[in-house]
Amino acid sequence: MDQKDSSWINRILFYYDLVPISLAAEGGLTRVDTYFGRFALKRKVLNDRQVRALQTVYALARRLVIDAVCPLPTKYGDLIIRDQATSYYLMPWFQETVDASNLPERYRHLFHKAAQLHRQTMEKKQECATLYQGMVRVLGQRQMIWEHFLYTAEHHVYPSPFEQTVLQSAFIYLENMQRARDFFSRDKDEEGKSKKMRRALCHGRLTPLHLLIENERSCLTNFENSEDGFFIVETAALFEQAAVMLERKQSDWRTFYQSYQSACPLDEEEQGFLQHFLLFPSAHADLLIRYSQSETADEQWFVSRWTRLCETHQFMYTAITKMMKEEQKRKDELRKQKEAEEKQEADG
Amino acid sequence: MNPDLAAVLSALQANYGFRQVNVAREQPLLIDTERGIKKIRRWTDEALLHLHLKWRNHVKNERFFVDRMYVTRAGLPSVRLGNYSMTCHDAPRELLALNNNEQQWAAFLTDLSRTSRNSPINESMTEMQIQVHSLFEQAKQMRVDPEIWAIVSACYSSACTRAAEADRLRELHQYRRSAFLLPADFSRESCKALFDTLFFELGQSEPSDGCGVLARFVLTEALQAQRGQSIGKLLQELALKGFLDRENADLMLAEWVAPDEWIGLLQASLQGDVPADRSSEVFKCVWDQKIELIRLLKNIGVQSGMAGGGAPNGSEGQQLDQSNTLLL
Repeated sequence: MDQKDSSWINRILFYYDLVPISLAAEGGLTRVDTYFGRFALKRKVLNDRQVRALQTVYALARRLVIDAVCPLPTKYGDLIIRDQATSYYLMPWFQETVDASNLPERYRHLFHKAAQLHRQTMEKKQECATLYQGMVRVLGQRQMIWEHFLYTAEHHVYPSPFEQTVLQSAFIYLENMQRARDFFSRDKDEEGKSKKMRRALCHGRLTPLHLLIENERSCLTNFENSEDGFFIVETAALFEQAAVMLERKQSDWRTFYQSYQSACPLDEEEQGFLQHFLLFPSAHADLLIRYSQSETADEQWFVSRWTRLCETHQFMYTAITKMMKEEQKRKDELRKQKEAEEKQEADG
Repeated sequence: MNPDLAAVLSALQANYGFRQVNVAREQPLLIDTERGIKKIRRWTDEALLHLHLKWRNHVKNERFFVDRMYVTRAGLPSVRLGNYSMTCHDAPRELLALNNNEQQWAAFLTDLSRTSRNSPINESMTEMQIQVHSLFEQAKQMRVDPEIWAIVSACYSSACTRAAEADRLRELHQYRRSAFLLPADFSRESCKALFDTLFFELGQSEPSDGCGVLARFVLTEALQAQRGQSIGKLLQELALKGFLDRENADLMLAEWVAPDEWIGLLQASLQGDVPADRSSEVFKCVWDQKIELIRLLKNIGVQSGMAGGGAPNGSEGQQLDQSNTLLL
């Protein structure tokens, strides 16, 4: 690290009354060793909204409401040191014990931590008509992408290998999208009232890289995009993301789902939302756009990518749906058992 | 150790989480901790403390450090002990010399003039012209040292002209909405050097009109032997950085044009406080230096509302200068 770098670092560390013994750049962070311990110094462009988000999360973490790695306050009480263009903050150093490439393990922790975050910051139910309408809009866009792709492919005398592959599975996805559209178009319940769903603090950018794991302890970090919202959207997006990132062999969807459910049980409406959200995956639509826009398409790559996406997605969807059905079955059995017991008591 | 000091140290240790606290100096109170030397300030006036907290909050920025209050473990900026509050601050020792650091000082003052602003301080604004006249008339009736009287009466006409000019310059800006503020005790001790950055000790004085305080600071520095050149550079840098806009230039000029030294000499003589030879010597130095500073500012080409302002050879300005210097 050159002298210019260490000069600004010294100035920043002065806000914490820390004198560095050694400095090392690690990823996007600077590792700072001092006599008072090891810290991670982060330099990032943050806007006012992001600073407010970090302050909210810091207050929650300080009250032990959530388990998060947050910026440490300076000796003057500021959480963020703001330069004209850049912001700086210091965090305790986490000696990670799970490698960044070990995605299955990271996702296992991530599902659990996300569930804890949602559960601990859960708020009352609120009307979700706007959310459902938004979902319908997104669905409409995805359907358009599909229709455009299929229209082009069908008009080719000789469809390319990738187009043929997509055409083969298209009917399933088109049907799925229609099912999802039917679900999200019903933003009112049977009594005609607007549907309601639970809100909570959402991280905003849940990825395995925004999770720090040190032995048995794991904590979420990088909360600058966090905000209050219908948490089921974040949960569903996490499942979708994991399906793209993980190989089929690596992913144990039962464990992921159970891990989330054990910390933050989803109600019936939320389960329905998750199930239908997963019916129109964004990764598939993105790949279709990418193919249409690429001038010299590597057919083999696109075909194998499509096949892998479809396989993992199907595998995930089937596993989650099965789990939900099993849960429902268990609940029904319990209810019946209870009803039978009550009847027996009444007869007796 | 006196019991009061022991209580202070104990309160500091408990509230700021210092592991070890030793007294490094009692006046002002400096404590030696495992996190370095810290300055402790006592505040008996809660309103002033509140004002200083807000003030520091306004002026803090990334270009220079400010002696902000440390927060306690509970997140509070002060500790209450009996009938006063205590605040803990950084205490860097190395002064930032003005010489060779004029650019840094000018950048700092320019930044500060943009952030350290509030409603103008309501100082008792007796018109200087009236003050000069009434004091002179009063002195006529009393016995004044003949040597002093000779100087005072010779300079009376100039003092009247200068007082009128100072009044006029101040009147030009008397209805401004916000004013640049500096602590009344601003001095070269207020600026320290830390990691090649200026550290500003805002202290705990009442806020005062920044231009007046700065003009007096410049005058004091200029009066020190071998600092004239440095002051020239500072004024040039201030002009380059845009500090010396019409308002700031007028108010600084008003401070130099005002014949405070003439009033001071006469008042000291009437009270018989200072030996005549010494006070007349100081008067001459200040009078000369002020003229020099006015000339310096005009030579830089600063726009001001002063008669002949901005033109080094302006007829009226030159006349004012000449009428002053001829006397000495």
